[in-house]
Amino acid sequence: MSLAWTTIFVIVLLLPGVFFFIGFATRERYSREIVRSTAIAEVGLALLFAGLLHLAAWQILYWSIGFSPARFLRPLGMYDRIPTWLMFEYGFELLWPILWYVVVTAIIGFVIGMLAAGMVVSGPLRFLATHKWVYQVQKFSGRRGRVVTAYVMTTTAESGKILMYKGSLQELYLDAEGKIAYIVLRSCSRYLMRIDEEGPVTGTQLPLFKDDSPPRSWDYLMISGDNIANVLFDPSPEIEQTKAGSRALEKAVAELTKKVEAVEAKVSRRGWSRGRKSS
Amino acid sequence: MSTPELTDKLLAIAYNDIDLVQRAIRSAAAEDPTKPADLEKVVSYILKHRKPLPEKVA
Repeated sequence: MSLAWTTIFVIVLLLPGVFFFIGFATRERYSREIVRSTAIAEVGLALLFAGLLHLAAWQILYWSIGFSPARFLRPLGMYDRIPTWLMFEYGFELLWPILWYVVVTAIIGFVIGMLAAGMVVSGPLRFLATHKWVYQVQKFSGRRGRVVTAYVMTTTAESGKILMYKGSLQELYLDAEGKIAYIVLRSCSRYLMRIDEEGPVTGTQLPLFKDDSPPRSWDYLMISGDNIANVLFDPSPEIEQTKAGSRALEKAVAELTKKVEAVEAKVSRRGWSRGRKSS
Repeated sequence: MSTPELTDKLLAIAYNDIDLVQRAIRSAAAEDPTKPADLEKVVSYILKHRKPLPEKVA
């Protein structure tokens, strides 16, 4: 019984550290291993962080309400000298403040983890990351008004021709070794690259869908890391979003939406009349 | 407007032609290399240079 309580006690004390790493992982979508460490080192770091947070919390509680852990937990130390019913009363009295303390310190750990992860992505704590380049790509693809085009060379080759894809970068994940786990592209086109004596020559770029299909709201192509030989990322210059520019864009989008709705209505009417004829 | 939203809208009005979007941004940025590309010029370039919708669709 005492062994189970000790385990629960250790887990509860570790919670702020664990939540710190959960918070840290919220922005870390590109590599499983953001910090140069092993699983054991991560538990050690969680322990260290939890210890620091508990110390800070203790100090703040002491300054604000004169909190003393010895006084707070004293009744539990006399469990063998006081009746069981009184022990239960003490236990339940202590339960709420302890639960609140655990929840608040876990939330603080989570928030600090999120902030630290944001600083890894944005730059000040980039030195903590194992695979730094991917955060540069993430920063550029997330910065206001930049479009990152990805040119993907696949491992699919036939008669000296290699299948290539090009599209707007949407998602990119790495595995623990820093290799691309998978990449997601939007507005993708495919083409072939031939390597002859003069060097690599690329062929005509073809859309993934037929030319006569209506424009789509979105389309994603996911390419698995096993099928990727290499990727070239090409970021555009930054765009300044002016009021006039936003108005022009909204107008163009509204006109496009009308066009698409008209096409969809035409297609559904055609399908309905075909259905009537066949019946 | 967030970046993904802006990118999505630019790609949508360019009929998903990423080359055209990149060309439009670079062309607008080239007018004054010290400043970011003006969104209005980017939109105007896309509308002017985008391929017409295929006849079957339009």
